[in-house]
Amino acid sequence: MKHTKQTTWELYAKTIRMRAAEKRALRERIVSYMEYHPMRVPLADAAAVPQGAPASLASEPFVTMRFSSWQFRTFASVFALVLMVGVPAFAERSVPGDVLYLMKVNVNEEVLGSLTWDSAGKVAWEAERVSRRIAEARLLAQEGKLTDETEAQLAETVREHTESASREIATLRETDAESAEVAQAALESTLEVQTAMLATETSSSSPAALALVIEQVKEGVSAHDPSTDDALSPEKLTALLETETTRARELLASVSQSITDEERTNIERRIADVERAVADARIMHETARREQGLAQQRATLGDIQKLVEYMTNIDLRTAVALETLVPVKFTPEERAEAVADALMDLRKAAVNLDADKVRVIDQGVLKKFARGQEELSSLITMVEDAQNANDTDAAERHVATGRTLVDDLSSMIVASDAANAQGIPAVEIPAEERTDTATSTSATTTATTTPVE
Amino acid sequence: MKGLGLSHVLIYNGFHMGTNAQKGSHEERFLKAFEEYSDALFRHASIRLSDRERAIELVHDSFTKAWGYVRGGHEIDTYRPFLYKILNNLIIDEYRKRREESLDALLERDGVDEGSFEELREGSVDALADQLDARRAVERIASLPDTYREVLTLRFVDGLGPKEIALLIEESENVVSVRLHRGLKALKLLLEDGSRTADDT
Repeated sequence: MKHTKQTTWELYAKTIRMRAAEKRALRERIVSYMEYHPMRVPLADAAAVPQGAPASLASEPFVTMRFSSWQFRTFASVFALVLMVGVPAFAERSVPGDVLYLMKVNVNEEVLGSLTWDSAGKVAWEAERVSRRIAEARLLAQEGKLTDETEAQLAETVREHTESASREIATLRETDAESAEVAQAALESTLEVQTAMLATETSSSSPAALALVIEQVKEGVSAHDPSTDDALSPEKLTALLETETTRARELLASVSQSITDEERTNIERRIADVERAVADARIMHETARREQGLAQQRATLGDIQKLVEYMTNIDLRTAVALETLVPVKFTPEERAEAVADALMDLRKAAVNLDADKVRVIDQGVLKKFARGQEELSSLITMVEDAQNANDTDAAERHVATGRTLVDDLSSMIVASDAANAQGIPAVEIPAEERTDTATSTSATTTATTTPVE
Repeated sequence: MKGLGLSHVLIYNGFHMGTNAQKGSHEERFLKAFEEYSDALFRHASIRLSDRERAIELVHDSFTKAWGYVRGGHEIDTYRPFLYKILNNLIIDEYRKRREESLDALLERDGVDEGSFEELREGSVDALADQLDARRAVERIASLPDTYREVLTLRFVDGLGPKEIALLIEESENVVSVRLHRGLKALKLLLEDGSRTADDT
């Protein structure tokens, strides 16, 4: 009974239903909803989310990734390596104004400096820092980014580094006077090299103020205190010089692949000069010329340092000629030969001048010219005498004076020719000279007449 | 070195589209549920609301909500009670919107008591339903307060047992029985009234 009644209710209720079109439309709406809201994760994955972990995470925009401890450690160590090696390495390339510059100056360089224990090393490092500051200034100047402020700041740093290097040298001098000399020479040559480098900067923004400061500190550094000489042992200095020379030779051998043949020849010549200078200095000491010998040794130390710098610094090699840094030192034979050559030149010049004399018309000039000629011939005699006496120094001096005199007399001829061209042409003027004057006169006439037309 | 064990790291995933492995069966099951229950749900909703268009909308909403639950990674064992539960909640929300509480509240108050022994007897409810004309009864259900409409529809239109209804509307079985009893009585009164007025005219 119950069932029949329920069935009638239900049977009647069954007549209440969606029309086919309504049902189809509803189904389509639901299916499209499902397509726009697809399953986020397969059920199997959702079940795999561990108890306690927020289940929603697996399907949210953020997913949980698991790293094993070794992966984590690898990642951490790579990150640490980047932080400890990569960033400082990157900082090394920075210039003032860069984010990492402070790190370069205050961290990298301080750390590197603290790794050096001996005073000599410290001096070398301070010298290196001076070079770095100047290199930065040059780089900025080349890019046109060197402001007065930065330059002043760099100059100040250069001063500080030089002072601290000088202090180290003073400390070193108390224990090892000879090494102090080497360190001093190194510092001086660094400053000298940097001055030469700065001199090559021709742009308007060249760090002139910095150059001035370096000049000043260089004077301060090279100011020689004779009282320190007493502590020096010439033998030790000679030994040190020989060590340095050997080092320079080894360096040359190692860089010979990367330098031109000409550069190698030049360097070899300078090393030979140095070796001769060392030998000379020894002779000076043996012949009781201590002061002279020490000065020679000091100069030679500086030369070696500059040579080493020249060999190791490619910028320097391209920017500065070796001759300006370390001029060639001639051997006595070479000097004698040069004097002989110069003497020949002087004689030839005397003959030429005598021939040119006819072109001088002015009597006053002619008188002066004749006096000059007399002086020249007497100078030539003096050079010959000096040559005979084997006094190369005096001969060189006279040759230099003779050269100046020849230049003066030649310019007198030129001036007189110019004066003649203005007036009536002289009868003795050679044919080619005359045509020259003729063209120049016609040129001037056209030049003067053109504007009138 | 001590191992760090597994480390969980949150990594942005964009939007994970999932794999096709289990997808098919999920969608299939869901659409199968639509075919099976959409008509019954519509019937229930339309009797409770006496509004076809609104009934279709609520059925639609029931299915989209159910799908949202499925795609959230939840497993639905049996769709029928789940869908009824959602629909029922939606209908209650609908009533709240319509602000029909006045009459509900009135009848709710006397519906709170446990009811008499008579009212609690299943048979008596069925006997009562027996006496009513199915067609007219179903039509007039819409005139009853929803408290009765809910249980009557679930019991006699959808054919759910009192236990199922109790679970669904989150009331005790006793309350369900009392409501069924009183609902039928009220329905009977309405029908008698209706026939009387019909006779009068």
